[in-house]
Amino acid sequence: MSALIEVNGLWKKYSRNLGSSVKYAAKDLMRAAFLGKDVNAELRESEFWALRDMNFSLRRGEVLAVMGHNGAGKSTLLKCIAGKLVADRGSVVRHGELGYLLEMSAGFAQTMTGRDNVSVRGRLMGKSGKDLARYIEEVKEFADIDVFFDSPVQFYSSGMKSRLGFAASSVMTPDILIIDEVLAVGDLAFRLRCYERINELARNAAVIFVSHSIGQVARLCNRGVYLEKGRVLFDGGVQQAISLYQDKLGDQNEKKRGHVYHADLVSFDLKVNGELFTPGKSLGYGTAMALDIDVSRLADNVQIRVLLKDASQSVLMDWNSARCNLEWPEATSILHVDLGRAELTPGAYSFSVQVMSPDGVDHVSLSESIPFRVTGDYYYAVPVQRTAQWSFKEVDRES
Amino acid sequence: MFTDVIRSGFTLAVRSIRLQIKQHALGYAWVLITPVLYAACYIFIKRELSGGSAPTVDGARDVLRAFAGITLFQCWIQIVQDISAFIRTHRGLLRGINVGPIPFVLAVVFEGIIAIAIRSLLIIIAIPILGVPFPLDLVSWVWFFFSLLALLISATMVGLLLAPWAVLYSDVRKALTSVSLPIILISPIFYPAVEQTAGALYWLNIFNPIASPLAVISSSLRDAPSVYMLPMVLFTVGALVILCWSFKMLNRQIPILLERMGN
Repeated sequence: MSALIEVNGLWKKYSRNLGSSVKYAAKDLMRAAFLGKDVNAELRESEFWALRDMNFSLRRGEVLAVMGHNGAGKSTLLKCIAGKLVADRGSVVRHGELGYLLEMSAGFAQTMTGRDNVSVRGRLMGKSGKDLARYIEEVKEFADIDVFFDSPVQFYSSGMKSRLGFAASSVMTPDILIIDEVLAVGDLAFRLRCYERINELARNAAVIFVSHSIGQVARLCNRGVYLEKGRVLFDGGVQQAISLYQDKLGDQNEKKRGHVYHADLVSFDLKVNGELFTPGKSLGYGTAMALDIDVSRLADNVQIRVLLKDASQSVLMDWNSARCNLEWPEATSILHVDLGRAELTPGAYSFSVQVMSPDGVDHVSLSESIPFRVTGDYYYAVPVQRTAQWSFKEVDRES
Repeated sequence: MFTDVIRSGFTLAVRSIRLQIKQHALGYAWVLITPVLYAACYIFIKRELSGGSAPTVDGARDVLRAFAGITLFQCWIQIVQDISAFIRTHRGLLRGINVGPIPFVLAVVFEGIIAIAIRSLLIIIAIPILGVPFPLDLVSWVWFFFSLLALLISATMVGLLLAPWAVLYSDVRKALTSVSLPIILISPIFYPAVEQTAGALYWLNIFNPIASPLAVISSSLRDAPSVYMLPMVLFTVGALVILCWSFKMLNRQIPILLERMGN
């Protein structure tokens, strides 16, 4: 099967300075007008490369996740592929009809009703007659904004605008589909419908998808590229791309102290296989973990929570002392917590300790976190991956 | 492909007209109000300066010229402003929908055609009201309508040449507002165009994109030829060539400009 998108040696630059940006744009316009050349391919003062030598191709049925941190060049890459930006070097070859979900609510006239705006968009997409009427009905049904569909857009909530924008932009059957961080719109039910719609579109198209949401990427994509400072660092399976993304996110988090609250009240040591863990080292999958928490500065009977967070600081697990009917002795200084095994997918994580009042209402303290990494075989982008006792059972077929 | 572009342009024009009607209490009545105000002021001042004497046919022709000149100038400058601002105005749609820039220009042109048609109707209605005889020669009417077309083409050309620069520099918008009055003053609106092929005023009118068409309109309404007919035709042909070149350039210019406008 031939590629629907071919990105060949793509380079794109931007200027950091407004004055020089305008000056260069004026020069580029003059060059385009009188010399017939589109762009100046050399780096000029105050310019930097936002994309560097990108090469990849995409076939029908492939859903490519473009991952990377802010400023990595993800949106620039999408705009170049969509033809909204012109490449400074290299080329993007597209074979087939292009559809994109970029800035979906853009261009809605505020004083016109949702129906009128959708009608204009449909006409601009080349629809007319029954085709247009069907398009409007499909958008109305999908957006599900009831009577507001016939009200001016200026009276919509931001969620309603996003719903209408997504609905109006996603009723299409492109060969190439480009999606930029658009699925986080509306409530959970609408988001699930968005995923469903994207899956429908992706079945017969080559899709490029940009998102910071690991869940969305894991759900939708079957291939991933990881970008850093405009370069492709990885191109391959989506799970590995997610792993790399989380790994890099872990690098960033290790440099940060994280959010703390009266951190001097509580401190703790991480024990790995009974030994004191040195921050920066890695743990193998299945390593036994425990914490020794210094509680000497805390009042008796407070609730102690041990929080396991992933690289994006989402809490994955919570061990709460309130669940254990913990009896506080007369005098104690160290509370030992056996956390079990590190049955986690390879990536960056951290532990922190949160102290709540005995009734669990007031926040007493939040410690600094201890970052760590888990190594081992990578299977899927689900952080907690427990082992189990697996066995085959004999089946008596005669009975 | 071509019909898609035309249809998209028409859709955008209808959208723009509906928005204007919704956003203004008087809607399209403004097309009439401004030139009528100008004409009323002109009649009043002219009558007072001539000592309140009875109106003559020549005096009525002067009023008709001023009325036609102002109403068409207003239309011309509006087209220039709208086309020069189209990239900034429609950047959301340019980014968000898979549609090229040409329909947006065509939308303004379609609106311009409607606006010029309304204004030409107003001028024709004003002829009997002012007591001026209608031109009898068919050729005069041909020149009248060709001049209107020349105005539309020159406005589109000027607007399209300014459009990329209007994105980069706000000065363009300010300059267009600032030069309105000087253009009125140097154009044959409140005075007749010199009908001789020499002198600075003649050459000024040749290079002033609205002067020749206004001079030809004025003369055709009198059933008379004008020295500006040939220059107007040549200017229009030149404008058409530049217009085609500008249309071709747009696809290269838009990505550069969208990038400079940022997010």
